[in-house]
Amino acid sequence: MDKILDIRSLKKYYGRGENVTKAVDGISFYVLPGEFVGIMGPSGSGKTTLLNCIASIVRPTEGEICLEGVNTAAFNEKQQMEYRGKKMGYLFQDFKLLDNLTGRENILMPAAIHGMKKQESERQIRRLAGYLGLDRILDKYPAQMSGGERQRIAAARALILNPSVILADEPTGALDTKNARTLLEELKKLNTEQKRTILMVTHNPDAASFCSRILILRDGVIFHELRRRQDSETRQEFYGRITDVMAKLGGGGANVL
Amino acid sequence: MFFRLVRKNGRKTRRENGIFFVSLIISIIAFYIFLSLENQDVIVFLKTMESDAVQKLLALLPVFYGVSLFFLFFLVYFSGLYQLQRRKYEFGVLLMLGMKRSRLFLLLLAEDIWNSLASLLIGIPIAVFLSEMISMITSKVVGLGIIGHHFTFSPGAVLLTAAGFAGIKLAAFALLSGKMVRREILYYFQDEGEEERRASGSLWNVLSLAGGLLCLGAAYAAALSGAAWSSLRAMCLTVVIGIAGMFLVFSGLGPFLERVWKGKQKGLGIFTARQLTEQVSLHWKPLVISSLLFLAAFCLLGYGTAAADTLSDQSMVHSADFTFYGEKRDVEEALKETGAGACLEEPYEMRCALLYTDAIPFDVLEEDMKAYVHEIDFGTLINAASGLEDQDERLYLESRLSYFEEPYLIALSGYNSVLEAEGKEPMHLDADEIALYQNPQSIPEVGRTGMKKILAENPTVKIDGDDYWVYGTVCTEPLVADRIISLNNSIIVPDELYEELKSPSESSYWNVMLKEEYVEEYGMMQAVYTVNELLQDTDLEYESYLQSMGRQLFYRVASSYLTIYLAVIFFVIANTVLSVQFLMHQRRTGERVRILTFLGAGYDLLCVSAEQQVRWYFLLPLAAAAINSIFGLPSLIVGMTGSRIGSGDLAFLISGLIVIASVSVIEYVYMKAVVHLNNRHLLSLVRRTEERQESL
Repeated sequence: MDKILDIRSLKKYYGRGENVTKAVDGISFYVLPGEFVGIMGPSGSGKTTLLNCIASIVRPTEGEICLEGVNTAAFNEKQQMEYRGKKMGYLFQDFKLLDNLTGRENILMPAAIHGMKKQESERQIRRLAGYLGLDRILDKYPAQMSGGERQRIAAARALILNPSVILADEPTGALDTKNARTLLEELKKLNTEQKRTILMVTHNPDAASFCSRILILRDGVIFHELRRRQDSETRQEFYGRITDVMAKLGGGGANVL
Repeated sequence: MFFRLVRKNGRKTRRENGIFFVSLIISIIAFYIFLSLENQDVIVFLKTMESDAVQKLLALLPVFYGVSLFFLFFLVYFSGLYQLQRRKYEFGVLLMLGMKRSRLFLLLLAEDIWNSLASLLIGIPIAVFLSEMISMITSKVVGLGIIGHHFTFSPGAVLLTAAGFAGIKLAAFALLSGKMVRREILYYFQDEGEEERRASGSLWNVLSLAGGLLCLGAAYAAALSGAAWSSLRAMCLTVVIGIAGMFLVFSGLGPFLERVWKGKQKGLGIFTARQLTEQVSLHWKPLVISSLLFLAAFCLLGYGTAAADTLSDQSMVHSADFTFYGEKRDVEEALKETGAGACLEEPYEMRCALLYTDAIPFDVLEEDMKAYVHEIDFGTLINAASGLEDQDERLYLESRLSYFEEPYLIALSGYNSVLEAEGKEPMHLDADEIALYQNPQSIPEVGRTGMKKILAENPTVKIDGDDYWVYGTVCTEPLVADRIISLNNSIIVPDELYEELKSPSESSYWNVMLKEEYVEEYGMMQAVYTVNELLQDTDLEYESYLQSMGRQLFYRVASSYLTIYLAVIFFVIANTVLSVQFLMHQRRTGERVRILTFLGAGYDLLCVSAEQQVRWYFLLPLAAAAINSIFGLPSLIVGMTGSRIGSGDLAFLISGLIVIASVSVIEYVYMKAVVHLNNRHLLSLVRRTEERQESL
């Protein structure tokens, strides 16, 4: 199967000389179409920097980020703008909705920025509204929505341009347990039913248990990788394995695995 | 370290807030020019002629000074508010590092003083230069000549400018920083909350808009019909209704504008529309105030420039530079003795006398005067006036002609001398012909047109039973040097008839013109001024053309100076309020820009959206002011001249339109400056997005 995302020797260093901080230090991995990959790790392990490099929000120091065979790390600013939103959908912890636009207008914003035809964007919004159950909240302003509703709107906004990959940075971070669970189930549904490729940063083992594969980062490198045994392992069992690893990780690297 | 920080921050503030810095400098320039008015050549000159009026004007200056300080306070306050908000984070860091609040207060105060000094140091020299230029240009325009000009510097004006400026700066500073310094440290690190959308039903908006339009319509109607000018109460009512109308229109305007703006869905169209709607819905009050200030500035500028225009338009055609009262021999002797005669032409006589008629109560007249009483009957003229179709003309002339019952008589020879002195053809009257004379300033348009109609019917006037034809036009040339004193309701009669009809109360005036070559050498005003000085010590009773000119000049100079000055101040304040309001809103909603960059909106696209917002945000109050001024300017004419707009007022309207056009250019520059400032803010946001992400 062709890799949808191929990260090769990716490095992101801050500072110079002795003061250099290696946020991402030569990470390589690939993602296949339809995969739901989780990225975990303690604070400062480089997970958000890695996600931001992939999202083109941060320019890497070295390495390649190939999305569908094209190295996006070498893009100029204009190409990056094209790429953002169009090839990548982004879900933020704090939703990042425009508070002066209605749900519908928020969803349509990437379509307007990237010049999608009106008919097509209307068709997409109808499809997404039906799929994510947004009909009731489309004409509400973010201030009139619950956290879960806001994140569903943000998800629809991330999906409107049919991006190749959805990047999610702690998408459940600002939600209560019930809404967090609902959102994760929706993401899972998107992954299994629509074969959407999702890359999610999380520190929450429960959220991570919805993924099919988890990359655990420490000090800017991939420290460990967990794969869910799709046929034989339940989500609860996978969750157990994740918590075990995270506990050991918290107890000191020397004793781990 | 402290002073280095002060200097560095001061420089940074000036660079980053150039728009406000320039606004302050403009205000300082306007202040100085206004306060040094006393030293302007024209005013120095007018002081010699119209010292009372000039003193009154100068006594009024402190009032204008106070009013402009009051308005300027808002400019300083708003620009200060913006600057403090912008630097909030920096203050938070300083406090976190252990800087005492009192020291932070001192730091801000020192920066403020430093920047104020910088604006004064730049503003005052420019103001002195401009003041001198204005002084020279005005004297040249009014015919004073610039030979006698010498450089003047008014330390009093500098002191007052600096003191006033420092006063409002300190007051605004105390208010702003006092509030800021008392805050919890956490406040300095918090982003300004994005404002709540104003929840208002569409019915309220419709009602508000409709009510506002009705109020405006009523105010326009009252202003244009002249009803507003009928009394102070009516004027106040019109102004209040107009202002209320503006407030109501703007408070309900947001949702309607949204529909217009939302039409453009391309790019950031929806976002731009929402930003604008939010700005209008949330900040409609400053918008209305700015719009009203623009309107005031437009009207004042229109009026001021029209008044300034007329300075060069002083009618130089006149019949006498000096008018002497008394015997010809005394006049000639005095002119010879003082040497003034060398500059003057031969005097000519202007005779007029009251015609004693039946209208004078018989018992009032002394016995020996009764022989001079004559019968005069304007019956046919009054009948002709009663037959006029136009009601305004009819009513005016019927009442006006009744005043001719006891007219003044003017000898034809004297009037013809007036015409000759003006370079016009003399008038010929047959022995059975007379002409009506009226003061040109006292005839309104209806009087002119009505009189033309009835004189076309060849009416007659009966004097002592004999019919006299009335000359086809009404004579209006000024008879003596001072135009303010002029005869009204008089009749010009051939000299023989004059001798026959005149009463013993005859007055004789001697009109004299300046020699042409003398005028050419020294200029009109200077020549009259010199002769006037020569004659000052004689016993001659006289008045000069200069006095009349001086009076008119004074009114025009005073009104153009004051109106242009106020207009500039209003204009600067309105623009500053708009700029600050806009930029503060952009700063508060900066997070939205960051979100848009995440969604793929580039810096260029964001700049296009911001530019559209600036354009609309400025155009909205400007357009409202322009529409209002279309009604305001004609209303000013109606109010000032008491007549409907005539062809003579066209210049006034044209000058108003020219002002609006030039103001639009300045406004464009202002808008560009705000766009530039905002684009820098956008760039910093886009960059900060990256930095923030990198720091995670």
